Amino acid sequence: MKSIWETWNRFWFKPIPSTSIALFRILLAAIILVLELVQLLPDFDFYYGKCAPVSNRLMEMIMWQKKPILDLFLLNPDNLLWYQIVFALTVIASISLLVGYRTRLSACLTWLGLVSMHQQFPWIDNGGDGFIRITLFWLMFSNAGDSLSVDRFLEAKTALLPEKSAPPWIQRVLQVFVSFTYLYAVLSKLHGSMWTNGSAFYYCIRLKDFYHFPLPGFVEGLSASGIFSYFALIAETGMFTLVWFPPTRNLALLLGACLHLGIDWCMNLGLFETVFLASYVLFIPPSDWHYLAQRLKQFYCYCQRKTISAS
Amino acid sequence: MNFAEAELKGPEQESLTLKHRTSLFLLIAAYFFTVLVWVSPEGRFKDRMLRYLRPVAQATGIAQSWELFCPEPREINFHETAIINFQDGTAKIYEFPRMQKMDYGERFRHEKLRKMFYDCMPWPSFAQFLPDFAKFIARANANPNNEPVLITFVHHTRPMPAPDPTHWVKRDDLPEHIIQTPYFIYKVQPEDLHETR
Repeated sequence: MKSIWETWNRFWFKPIPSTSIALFRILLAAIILVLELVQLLPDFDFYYGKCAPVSNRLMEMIMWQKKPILDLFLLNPDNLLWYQIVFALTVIASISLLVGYRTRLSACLTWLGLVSMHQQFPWIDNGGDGFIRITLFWLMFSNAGDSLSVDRFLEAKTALLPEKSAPPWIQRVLQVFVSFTYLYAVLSKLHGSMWTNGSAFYYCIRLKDFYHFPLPGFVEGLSASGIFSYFALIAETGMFTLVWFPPTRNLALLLGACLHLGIDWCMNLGLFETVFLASYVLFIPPSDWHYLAQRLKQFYCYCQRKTISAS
Repeated sequence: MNFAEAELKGPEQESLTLKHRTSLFLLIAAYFFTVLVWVSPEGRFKDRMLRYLRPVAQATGIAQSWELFCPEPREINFHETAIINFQDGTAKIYEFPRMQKMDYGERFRHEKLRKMFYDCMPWPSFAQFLPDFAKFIARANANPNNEPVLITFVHHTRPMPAPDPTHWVKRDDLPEHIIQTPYFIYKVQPEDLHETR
């Protein structure tokens, strides 16, 4: 009983360096900036501005129904300039989150901005947007600004930053959440017959509205459909089973990465695949990042030495 | 202190007290309980719980679903058009954005439009918003000399051929969407053409 309690405590609260969650913060903020500047800004008037097809009156009647909602736009619903200001502030907060300046506040403002956009025009959100909102919610409480951030730089007042450790409970919540999404996806797939009889992939890659890059001929065959349908189930199962055990963790992440990159090649799902791939850094222990950084440093020194000796 | 030393040394912050840990555990448990209720099958327990949890989940944006291509992927392809009839009896067809007709960059930039016009607009759960979409189309085609009078939304569809090894169809050879079903007709009122948000 005591060892279970200790394992539980170690899992949630034993301090670890914040490298992984800081890297996740950077990747997430970069993805959010792409979302805001590349996908939302060009059609801003259609989604939230003067051209928006659905009126606030109708939204109030059908969607909001006088229930409490978090929506900064509604602080001044008749002023389109206010909509633009809220959007601009969200972009600034995302940049601040990227560089790790006032990290918790930045995460909070970015989250508020994205939740407001979701409440205003929910029909353009896919699972990736939901994933971003949920992870941002938890990042507000996290130590994601303790590494690789302006906050840390200012705190240390030097470029040579010592590492900082903290209880990783937020990182654990996010890991459990990521695993849960895969468990849910597998259980939902098993409710139907196409994923188990191997025909799902055949239909998925033939959905014209999702077409992305051209496919090599063999991927369109009958046997490939079976192989890739089962591969999706196996890779997703790995992400809530194998990923929790150190010896099999990298295999699970590799299978998951192949799955997401493969889907992204075949199908245009916006940032859905990218945001899931970014979450994989949460599963990689800080010591691995340290090892990678050392290797890169060695490689850089080696290249510099070669350049000097050549000149 | 370098990384390895920091990892060995452990906390720089003070360790959490039992009270803190218990509070955090309760927060985490409450969160995952909400998520589990949210994604659980429909039933009396879910209905009762959601009475209390829905406002929190919706207000904070933690409502979620992870059912991409589940339990089965779609077996049909489709696209949407709107027929705009004008005062003088002429008509115009507007084709809502079709992703397969865009280049790679446009597909990425306008992926949100795909979500809107393919995953939401044509389906029954969106029906209450169709009048506003029809007004939007009418406003976009407003002309003081020849105003739009009628907007009709048409669903163009075609089932995919089943995976039959003897009649294998590659994805570039899929049939066009020739089955047409008008699913919403809206008579434009003069005030619709000047309505703003």
